Amino acid sequence: MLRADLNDRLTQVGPGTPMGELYRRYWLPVATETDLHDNPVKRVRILGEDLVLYADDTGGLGLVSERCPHRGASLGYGFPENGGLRCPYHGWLFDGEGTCLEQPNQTPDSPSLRERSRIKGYPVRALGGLVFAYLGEAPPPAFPRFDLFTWQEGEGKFRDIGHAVIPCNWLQIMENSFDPTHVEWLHGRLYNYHLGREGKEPTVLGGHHVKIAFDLVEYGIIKRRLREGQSEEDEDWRVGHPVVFPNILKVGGNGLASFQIRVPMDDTHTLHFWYQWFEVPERFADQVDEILHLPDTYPVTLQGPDGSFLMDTIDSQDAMVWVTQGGRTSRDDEHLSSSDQGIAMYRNLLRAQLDANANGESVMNVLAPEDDYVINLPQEQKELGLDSGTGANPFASFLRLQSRYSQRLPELVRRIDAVIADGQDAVTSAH
Amino acid sequence: MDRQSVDPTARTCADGHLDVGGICGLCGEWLPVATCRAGSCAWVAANGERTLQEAVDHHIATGHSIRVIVN
Ligand code: FES
Ligand SMILES: [Fe+2]
Ligand SMILES: [Zn+2]
Ligand SMILES: [Zn+2]
Repeated sequence: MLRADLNDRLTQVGPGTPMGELYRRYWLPVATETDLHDNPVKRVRILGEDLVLYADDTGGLGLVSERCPHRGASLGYGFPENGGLRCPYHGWLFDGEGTCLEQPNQTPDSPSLRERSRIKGYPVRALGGLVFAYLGEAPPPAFPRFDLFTWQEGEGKFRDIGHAVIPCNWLQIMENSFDPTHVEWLHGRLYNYHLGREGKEPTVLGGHHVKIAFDLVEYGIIKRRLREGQSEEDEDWRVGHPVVFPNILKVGGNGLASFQIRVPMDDTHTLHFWYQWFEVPERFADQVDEILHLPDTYPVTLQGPDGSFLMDTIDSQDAMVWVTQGGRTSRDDEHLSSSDQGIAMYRNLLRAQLDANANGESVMNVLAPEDDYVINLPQEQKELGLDSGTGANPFASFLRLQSRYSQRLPELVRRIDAVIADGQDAVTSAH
Repeated sequence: MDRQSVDPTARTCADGHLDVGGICGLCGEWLPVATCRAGSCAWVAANGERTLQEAVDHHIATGHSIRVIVN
């Protein structure tokens, strides 16, 4: 259990709060490049601040306060022009640093009014299909080039980025990443209950955990699990998969490597990215070229029309338990059990990093500007992995993830089905 | 318990209660063991709930990797 004041300290992210200041040390993804390409002006809410992300008419990116300092209209309805963003109301023009460049109907031109009309502007940078922003003090740290962000599409490899606003505090989502045993219940026994009611085959995720382990390492915490029927040689135990401090889970299996990235929007909303890379076996690799014209970005549906959470994807099951705890859950009434020790380790790590940040000491994964290297992260190749050797479509199982809302993956699955059917026809006619 | 008296064989909580699957069956205190993975370092902690805090502090002080296993 966590006292209410400590819970506030760990969960609140607005300007001036300890956790808000810690998050302001990191580059955070705020949108996808594809979304910004489709609409170059996008309102975003990050760490309790209402902002507008835009691509200007020279291809540069900017992130500024949403509220126009003239008479308060939203720059989120503005338009890019002259290397900046114009307010929709009276055309005041701002650059990416928040400097007011023009006040068209102010006569004569007043440099001092322009100077007083400065708004906030934050550095923005695109990498791997995502647009990242840095809301902290200058200078920004080096961008942490975690492996997947540096991958390239082609030769059987492609990326797919789902996103959703989760209506709850970010810590509820992160704590779930340190909770290995929930898989056997939420994604195993509960899922099988629902699948059974629909007359469908059960999942393989219901295996009981014999033991779990958490390794504190230089970039975060690696979690491991050993289930009934597995040995310590199994990758689930030997390799495991990490949480990159503070807010990225790496997870996947054969054919899939993904980051789940949780960006606090405010104390009760979190922007969630499912940042995925698929690697297609050689036999089907040609099919990737046929889907690359489709957008790599899609919104994820987690709730049905009546607001209740769908129980048919692993991700909507997760979202259900994140959100039903409450917008920002209390922790002074919880009853942690022995399987929650990864959560306790993470809370202690957060506590220590808050202290380090307050004392001006170095903080995990905040790299010096010159440390621009790639960071490779482990990930076991089993859980959720491809079902090999059965002759079935190896990518069909990924449709049990939020990937079913993607444009690329379902099209790939259809194409692979067709290749398999063709192959079977060929075999049949040869006989 | 004081923070110096690290006893890797401790399998009871401060009240002398019994370990039931990594948790005290009577008072609910955790009884994890944290082990340093750095070859030359013999750091181990088994101080109930404080174990995890001490693991984080040791990691920050030394950069060593630390493992906590929950059976
Ligand atoms: S059993 Fe864990 S929240 Fe209910
Ligand atoms: Fe889950
Ligand atoms: Zn006890
Ligand atoms: Zn050590």
